[in-house]
Amino acid sequence: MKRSRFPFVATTLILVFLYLPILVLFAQSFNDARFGGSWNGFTLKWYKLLFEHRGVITATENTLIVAVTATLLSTVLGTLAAWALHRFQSRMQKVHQVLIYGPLVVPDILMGISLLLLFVNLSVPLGLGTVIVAHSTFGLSYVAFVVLGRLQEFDHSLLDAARDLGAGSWTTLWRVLLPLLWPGIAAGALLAFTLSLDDFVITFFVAGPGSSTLPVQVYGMMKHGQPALINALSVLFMSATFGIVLASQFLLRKRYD
Amino acid sequence: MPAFFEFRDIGHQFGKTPVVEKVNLSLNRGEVFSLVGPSGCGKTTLLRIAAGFIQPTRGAVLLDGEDITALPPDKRKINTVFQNYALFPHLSVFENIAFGLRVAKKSKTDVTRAVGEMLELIDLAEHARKKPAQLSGGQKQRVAIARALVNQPDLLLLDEPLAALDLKLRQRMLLELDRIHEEVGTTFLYVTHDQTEAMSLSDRIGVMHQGKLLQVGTPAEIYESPESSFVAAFIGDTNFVVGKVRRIVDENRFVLEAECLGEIVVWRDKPVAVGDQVTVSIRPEKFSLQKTRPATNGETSNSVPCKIEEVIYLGPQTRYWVRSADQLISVIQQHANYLLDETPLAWGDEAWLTWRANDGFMLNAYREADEALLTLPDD
Repeated sequence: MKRSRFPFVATTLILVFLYLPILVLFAQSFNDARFGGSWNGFTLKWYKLLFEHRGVITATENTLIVAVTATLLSTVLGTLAAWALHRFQSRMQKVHQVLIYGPLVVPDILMGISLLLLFVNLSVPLGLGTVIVAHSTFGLSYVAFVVLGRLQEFDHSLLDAARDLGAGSWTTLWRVLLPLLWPGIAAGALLAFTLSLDDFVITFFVAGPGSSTLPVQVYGMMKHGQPALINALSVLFMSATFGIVLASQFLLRKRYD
Repeated sequence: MPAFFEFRDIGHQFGKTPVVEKVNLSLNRGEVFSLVGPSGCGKTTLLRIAAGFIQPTRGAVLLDGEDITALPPDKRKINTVFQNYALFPHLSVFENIAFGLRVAKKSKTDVTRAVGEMLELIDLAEHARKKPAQLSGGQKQRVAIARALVNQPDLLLLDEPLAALDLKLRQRMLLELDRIHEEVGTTFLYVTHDQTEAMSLSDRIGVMHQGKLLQVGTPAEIYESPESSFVAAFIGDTNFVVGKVRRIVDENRFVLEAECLGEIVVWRDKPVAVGDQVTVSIRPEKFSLQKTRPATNGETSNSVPCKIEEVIYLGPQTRYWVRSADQLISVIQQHANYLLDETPLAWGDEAWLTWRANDGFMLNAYREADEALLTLPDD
């Protein structure tokens, strides 16, 4: 029987569809033309200019502060939420689960508006703090989601075994539970980190003056007509995100059996 | 001598459903004791009560004379071999075995020495660095045993430890368990639904059914003189003969008017009076099956005509289902020289079924439901 060519053709088309825009962006970032209509030769000057751009540097700093803090917060809270959802039996658990997963399906723009209204009503000044809180809310959901998946295949008799061998609750946590959940927790944390890096809509609403993150900064530069700089910034940004996603995939794949 | 380990009047219920009722049981130091029963009989609950994972609703657990009912599992000198092994997948064989010692903050040299000894005992020294996922089922089982024994527990609990292994491996592991017990001398409390496992390994057996401990005794006592129809039918296979006492022959025998088989002579191992309703249990291998009428003495043995309804060749023996009057009886015969000096009995043959009065034993309690446990087909 002749092997069908269909899978090959379909895969190629999908890859072209997904990555052609990114390839164009990548190429343009090295194009020595201000508006990228034609190829004027290879250059690294956009990258050079980028590293001298005040706004970009501040935004990068902001982005990293927000992403690291929000990731820490959402990892701890998300892991605890997943544990509570998995471990305790209650009629309300289904409801809790939906509530935790809510931010995954609620449109970002609604999340942004509602958070903004909340901060305004509580008269919280908009700044890095509000961005961190906002990012933690959706980060938490993603971490809980990933860790819960890991917990589903967790063998609870291991906890019995640890207790049986003399381990108290803390020892069991440190020596058995956390080592086994660690790949899931780390993968969830990396996911939360990338989402925090990428988020535009929610940040746009809750960021105050001087607390813009990179995506918001890119949007601003777009309006001021610096497409070549944005190309270079996007390539760097995308590479970082891509690296983190790859790492998280690798961690999730790690299994013991 | 006070019991080494004791369940004193243990009762437990999940919600309103009682799962264990009024269990009193004492273990002697160093013995292998098996709790046997069908799934859901409460044996695993009892084991988890011993380990400390379940607080019994009633009663007390005593170890070496000390009440340990309220102690959590990590404070008891009792270790468990779990049914699915429950080895830590992220730790090597060595670290799995060392887990209890590390938690107890034993010195490095102590840990290395004790784990090394255990690895010798279970013959897995060359696999010390492997992860559990790289081991076979039997090897995992041995690691689980070593991980429990390295803590030198007063009592080792084994929860269906061989259930996940195939038949040949199970038989080998039974011998292995026996050898390990001989070397370490720890008291074993072994839970299984497999009566052959229990029989071959244990000093004593306790048979459980519906949350109650029905009978405790050595394997031979349990097999040869079960007190109830459940024990008779669950441990091994048997036939029940129901009837009324017609007359007492002497202090050792009486004549039973059996519902189907007519008048038969029965060994009088318990006091009976004329007119009593009695159930007698006769094991299939106690019968002998012949083509011609045997010259039997009607005073000490019985002989009834029967018809062969089914012949099942099992290798070492042959199982027959024969019908006499209206009762279907399961019979097992060893064959000496199959096909050489005997023509085998075949389906539809007429034959004679013979057994001695003392081949049957009287049951204290009979429930018709226990007939379902027999290998005989529903009549």
